[in-house]
Amino acid sequence: MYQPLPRPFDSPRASPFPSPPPALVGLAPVPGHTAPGALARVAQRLNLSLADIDERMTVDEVLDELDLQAYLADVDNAPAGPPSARGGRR
Amino acid sequence: MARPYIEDQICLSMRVGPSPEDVERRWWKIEQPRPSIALALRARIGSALGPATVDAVMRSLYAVIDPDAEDDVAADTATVGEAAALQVFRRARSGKSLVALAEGETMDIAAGRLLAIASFVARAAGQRLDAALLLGEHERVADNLEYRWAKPSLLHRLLLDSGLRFGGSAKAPRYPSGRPGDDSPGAALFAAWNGGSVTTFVREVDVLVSGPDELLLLTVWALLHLWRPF
Repeated sequence: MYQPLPRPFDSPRASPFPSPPPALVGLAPVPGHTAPGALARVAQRLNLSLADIDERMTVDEVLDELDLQAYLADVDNAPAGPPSARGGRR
Repeated sequence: MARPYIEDQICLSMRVGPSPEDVERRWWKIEQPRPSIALALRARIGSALGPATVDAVMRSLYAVIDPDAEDDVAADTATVGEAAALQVFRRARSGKSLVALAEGETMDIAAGRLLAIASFVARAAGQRLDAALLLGEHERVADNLEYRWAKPSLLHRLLLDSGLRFGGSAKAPRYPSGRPGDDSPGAALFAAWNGGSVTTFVREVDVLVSGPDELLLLTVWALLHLWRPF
């Protein structure tokens, strides 16, 4: 499992995560493992429907995709530095 | 391309009578649920066990199942780095049995390992285990000394979604074919699984298992299978 970069100084999300649509299975977060809607992210990146994922992919392949996305998110978005490095604010 | 099935098979040696020689070898098979169901089950079971517990328990269980792999992880981390070491954990994805044994060992040893795992889970989960959510509630059948499940639990659901199949207790397994007239020992369980009703499925599982120990072993086994490759 990919370990994302630590982001202690990133601005926290201001609003709560929305609840997934009740008819869709597997979008709830796995505590300590996957974020809410992770399965939908995989579907979005691979341009597949959720039914296609169930039909074609194994759990391992889904987890690989999640690792890849987390890695790319870290590559594209550097973690924020401490407040002192952003202009001396404390 | 169709999804490859990640299956696992085990032969449990269960005591079925008062004498120590009353032992029956019982074959079972499961497969990993499809991704949406697997993630939904992981989310629910993870909530019941507590997030920190799940990871620690699963990694420790892997060490119990395959001590050599744990040594390999330590060695690879020291020599070629953590990335290579992680590949050792991910070997589990190849479809290798979770209770795969070294050459020369018998499947009976797997049952002993699973028993060790079950007691480890109980110790590691401790008081954080939400037993009612995981195991369900039982009730006494009116005017009878028997008990039944008042409400199917998460683990019953896990067994259903893992496609638990019974292969009998002969020397070699004989799993149900699903064809009309199938007289294999697990035919009724297979029909219940095919029907998709967890209540009917649980009733058939209760008919087949030799006792609570076997049910416990089956659920722990399915739980491990669900959670790999960690």
